[in-house]
Amino acid sequence: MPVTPPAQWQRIVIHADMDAFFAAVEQLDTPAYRGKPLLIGSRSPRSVVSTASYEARQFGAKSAMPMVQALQLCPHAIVTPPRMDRYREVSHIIMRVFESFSPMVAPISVDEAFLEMTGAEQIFGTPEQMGKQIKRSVYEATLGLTISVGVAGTMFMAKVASDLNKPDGLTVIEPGTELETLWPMDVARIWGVGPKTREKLVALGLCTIGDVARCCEPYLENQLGKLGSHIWRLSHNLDDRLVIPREEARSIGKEYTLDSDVLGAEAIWPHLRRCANRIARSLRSENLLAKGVRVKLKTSDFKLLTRQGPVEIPTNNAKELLAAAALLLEKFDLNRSYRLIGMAAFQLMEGTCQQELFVPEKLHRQRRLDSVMDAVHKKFGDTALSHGEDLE
Amino acid sequence: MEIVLSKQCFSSALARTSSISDRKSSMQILSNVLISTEPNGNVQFAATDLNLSANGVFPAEVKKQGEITLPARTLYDIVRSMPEGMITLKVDGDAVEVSGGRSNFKLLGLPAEDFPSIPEPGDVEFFEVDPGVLADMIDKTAFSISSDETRPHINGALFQGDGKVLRMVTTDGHRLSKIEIKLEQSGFYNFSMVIPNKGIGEIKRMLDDGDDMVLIGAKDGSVFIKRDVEVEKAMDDEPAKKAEFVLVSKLIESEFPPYEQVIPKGQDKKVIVDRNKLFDALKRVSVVSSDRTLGVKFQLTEGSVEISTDNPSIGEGSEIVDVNYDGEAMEIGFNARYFIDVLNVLGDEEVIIELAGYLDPAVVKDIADTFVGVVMPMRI
Repeated sequence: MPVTPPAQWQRIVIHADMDAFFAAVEQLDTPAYRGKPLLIGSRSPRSVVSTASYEARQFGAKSAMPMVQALQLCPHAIVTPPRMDRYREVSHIIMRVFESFSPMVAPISVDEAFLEMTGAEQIFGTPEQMGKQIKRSVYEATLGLTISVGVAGTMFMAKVASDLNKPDGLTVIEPGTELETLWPMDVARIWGVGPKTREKLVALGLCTIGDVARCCEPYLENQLGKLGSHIWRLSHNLDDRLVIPREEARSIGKEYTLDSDVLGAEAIWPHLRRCANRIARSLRSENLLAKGVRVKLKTSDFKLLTRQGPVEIPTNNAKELLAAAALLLEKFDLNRSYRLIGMAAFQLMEGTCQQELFVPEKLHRQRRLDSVMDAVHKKFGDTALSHGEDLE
Repeated sequence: MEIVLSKQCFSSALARTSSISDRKSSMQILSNVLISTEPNGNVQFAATDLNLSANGVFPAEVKKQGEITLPARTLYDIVRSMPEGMITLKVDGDAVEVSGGRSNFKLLGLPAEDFPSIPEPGDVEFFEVDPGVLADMIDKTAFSISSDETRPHINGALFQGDGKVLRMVTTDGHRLSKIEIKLEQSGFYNFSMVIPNKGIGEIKRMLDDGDDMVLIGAKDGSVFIKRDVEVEKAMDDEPAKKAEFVLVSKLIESEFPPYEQVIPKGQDKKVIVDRNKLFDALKRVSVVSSDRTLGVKFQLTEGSVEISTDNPSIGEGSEIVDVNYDGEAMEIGFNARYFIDVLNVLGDEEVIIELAGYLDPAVVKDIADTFVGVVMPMRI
């Protein structure tokens, strides 16, 4: 029976993180290691611990700690060298499992990934049920590895959540409860806050995420630069990043923040055309073709909205990019005014330069024109030759 | 049901049907071959994947009438490995026994009632084609059929007749092959159909031996190809045994792209070259070209063409081939595979290559002027 999603979930993002991955794989493959403190790394004097099993962590050993120190804390630990090929093989199995849940999987390392699950409620049920199914599928596919899953409305919150009940955890942060969960936490929980930044923040009297949130953004930006603003935004769970699958990760984009806000398609259009011209030229100079186009608009109240879609034939031509963007533009609310207009080409493939047989003659001529214009721009500068419609 | 047939005949029947049965289907019965006795004492073998079907009536001794379906591949493997001689297939309830010499197999069958029905030609109007001509047409075009099943309109061969010529055209979007054979006998009706890739492969297989004419007819979105195929070679004074074999392929409904528009006319550079020499040079040079694009450069000057490639991760290669050319010098890049494929199927000693600009298509023709190949260049 279809499950009606609780209305308050605007977006569902899952962060899935394997528990002590390398050590868990070794314990899976070698039964004698199971239940025992295990350190992955070498015994050489300068070696560091790559992963410590949960049994070793009880003694205080942890990842990135010098092996010598870890062995002082846990002298009876078994030490075994990493087998990266095997970990990659298992990682491959896990990523396949993730991909069976969502087409939008962004791996961030061999053992963790984000999954965009928005709209998948009809298939997998509530966010909690999604988490449970992913955990079970990973366990079954790997014949016994556990994973910790965080479910929330943003990537940042999902990542924080997956770390809350490790190992073998499942944490769902219901919409509306994010800030009460976040604010008591140590600032080190914020993505991008390492030991040094933490020190600075503590020196400013900001020990918890709540302390940061109660500051004002310009103050933090003043103290820490761009990072300050980033930290402040995350402390309010403001994170509009999208889960972008690996092959789409690379993109070429251009955006313009406007002097004054614009309203309506006609006002937006010239800026998109500017973007398209720049992007197309970059694509051609890198000999790339784009299979997808993303349009990005920021409302006057700083809400970032994006829409993306495919182009008909992989392209590096401005008009073809614009044609795809025009379809996307219809999906925005054009009765709002916007302060930033951007566009990006993604799903880039190397332009093999293999010419197509059945390209409409019009496209053919456009592509030839592009190569002539590129040559002119190279020799005489960017403003030497433009399309009439691009003249302001 | 009980039938006895020679190993040669049994294995010929299965060879022609088991390749059509669909082992990957979720419908288990599609991986089976239907074996049913005919009232006149012969045995019909049939297989289908729902798009492509085949059936043939093969000479056999029927001891008891009946029908059954059996896993096509397994049965074929068993029959092929049996010693020469007669093989008996006996169905008793659910149990199917295949025996020959001193070997004996028991197989699990599925009831014949569940086997999908195979389209009957009925009143289809057939026309005759020489098997050698049809085989040649397929050989010279099948290589450039698109293997992309998401583009059904080019995942097959366009087959046409207009009363004077028979034509076959294929393309994968980067190259195109067209062959036209003038007919000595004329008068059969106009037709145009796109036959799917798998169907083309199976048609080719039924043209292998003998010189019996091929009968072709179309009805309700399917094409029927009928021919007497040899199932047992002629022995001493006994003539070869034959079976009437019918292949039915669903036709591709989407329209084949407007191929005439992309065959260029008025190319100003004409090169005549020894086919084998160019073929060998391309094979050698492409060894070092990039695996993915197989890009090679043609540098054309009066009297010769230099084929070269430069692959930063492997090295370079080049070879000069003498040609008959007296036009201006030019440079153009191609995927070597596209040229190798087309040179491979042309039988003539020499081929004609017509070029225009470095981004314009190349036209490859045979001396007999029945074949036209179009190869799009690569920017190198």
